[in-house]
Amino acid sequence: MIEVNGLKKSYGDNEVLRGVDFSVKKGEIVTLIGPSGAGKTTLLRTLNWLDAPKAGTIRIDDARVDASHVTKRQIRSLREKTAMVFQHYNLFANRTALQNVTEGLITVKKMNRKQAESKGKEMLDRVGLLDKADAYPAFLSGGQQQRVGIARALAVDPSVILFDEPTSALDPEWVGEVLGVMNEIASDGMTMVVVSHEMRFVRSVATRVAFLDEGVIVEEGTPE
Amino acid sequence: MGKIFDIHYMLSTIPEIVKYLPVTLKIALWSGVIALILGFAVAMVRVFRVRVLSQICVVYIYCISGTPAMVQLLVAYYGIPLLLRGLNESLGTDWNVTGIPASVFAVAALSLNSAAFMSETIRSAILSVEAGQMEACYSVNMTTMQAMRRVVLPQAFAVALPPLGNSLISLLKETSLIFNISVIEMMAAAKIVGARSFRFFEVYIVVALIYWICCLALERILILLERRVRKYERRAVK
Ligand SMILES: Nc1ncnc2c1ncn2[C@@H]1O[C@H](COP(=O)(O)OP(=O)(O)OP(=O)(O)O)[C@@H](O)[C@H]1O
Ligand SMILES: [Mg+2]
Repeated sequence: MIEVNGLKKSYGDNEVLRGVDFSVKKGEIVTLIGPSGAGKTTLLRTLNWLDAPKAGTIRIDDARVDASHVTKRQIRSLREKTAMVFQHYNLFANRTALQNVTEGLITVKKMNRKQAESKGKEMLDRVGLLDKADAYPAFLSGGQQQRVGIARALAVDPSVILFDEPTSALDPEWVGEVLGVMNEIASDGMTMVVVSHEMRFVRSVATRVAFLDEGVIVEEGTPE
Repeated sequence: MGKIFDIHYMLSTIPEIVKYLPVTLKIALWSGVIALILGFAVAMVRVFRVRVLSQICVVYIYCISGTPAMVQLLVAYYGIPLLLRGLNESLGTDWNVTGIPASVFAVAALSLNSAAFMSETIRSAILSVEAGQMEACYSVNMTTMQAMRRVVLPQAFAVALPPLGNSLISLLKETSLIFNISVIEMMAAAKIVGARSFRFFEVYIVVALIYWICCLALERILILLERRVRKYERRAVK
């Protein structure tokens, strides 16, 4: 379902990705690990073109992008297939929890407000935050904000959700609730690519672990 | 003419001076609206680094912030007609240069002045919204325009509002300079009234009071507006 070939990315002289080949099948939960600075975040961000790779191809379902000649339309088709959960949540500060979730539905999917709200509430319910629907992000705990982030990602019906260290900015007390939500959506069959050092998650949920080092995937295997 | 300070005389001049308040307010309002629009446009040009235009905007901001408003006013008053005359001669057009009322030059100068400062305020407010939110917009497939309109600009507006408010208040006060280019507004009226009795101090006190009341009112409005737009922020109780 995801097929990445020969992906390269540099920042100036710093060659971060040096030809990554990587694939993910539908329903897989792949955890991406590797030393700090290995390029895990970079790899994840090229998958939805937040960072533009300089070479290589990415295919997600029927969206295909070749870094050597890429159009705006292709970028958008890639983003349509993906959603992302960020390390620092990146919630829209001027929008309530519910509005964070419905924003993509209303502006991108052109849903009417009522439909969007009912779907948004459903998503908030899935992450256990229906009662916080009208709260602004600044009034939520880290764990709650990250669950809103997950609901926002779920709402746009992506083929895959990309998680970049979703629990590493959290106080230990909130990690459990976020992992719990991730477990649940994993068991609902969502395809996930997760950068995480969280061994609890790797052992209990991941179907595969990929090890990124020196800009290439050096090893793949089961969580053991 | 014996009294040092003639309060009865002062009070009696109020109606004559207040009569010109609408002129002052109208010029302030037009200048404020144009400055906001222009300042916003300049900020966007600079945020998106539009080629050539962006460099032009930088030069414009430098020119404005490095020269006194009074000088800009006079340059506009004498310079714009020259510019138009030059255009008339080189293009063979026939714009009526002498028919332009002085208040138009006043609005042009004041709004160009204020827009330069406002653009810097708006630009830094836009940049103050974390890039992560923009990325989150992209991650749900919003376009740059949608992200700006729905997420970045509303927050930038909330951040920019207090300094923009200060700029508007400065602008209102700077209207007191425009009598210099022969616009008959409150200051000019006060000068005329004062010259009749040689009691300038009293009439300028009247002008000061009127400006003061206007600024207070504007400040109140801005505070109310600010409360409304910052409702999503978590702040310590005072
Ligand atoms: N925007 C950027 N500009 C310049 N260099 C960058 C940028 N983003 C990342 N890098 C560099 O790219 C390399 C890979 O960074 P990346 O964030 O992908 O690593 P990571 O594997 O996610 O590390 P960590 O585990 O610390 O999050 C690092 O050397 C980093 O300094
Ligand atoms: Mg990282």
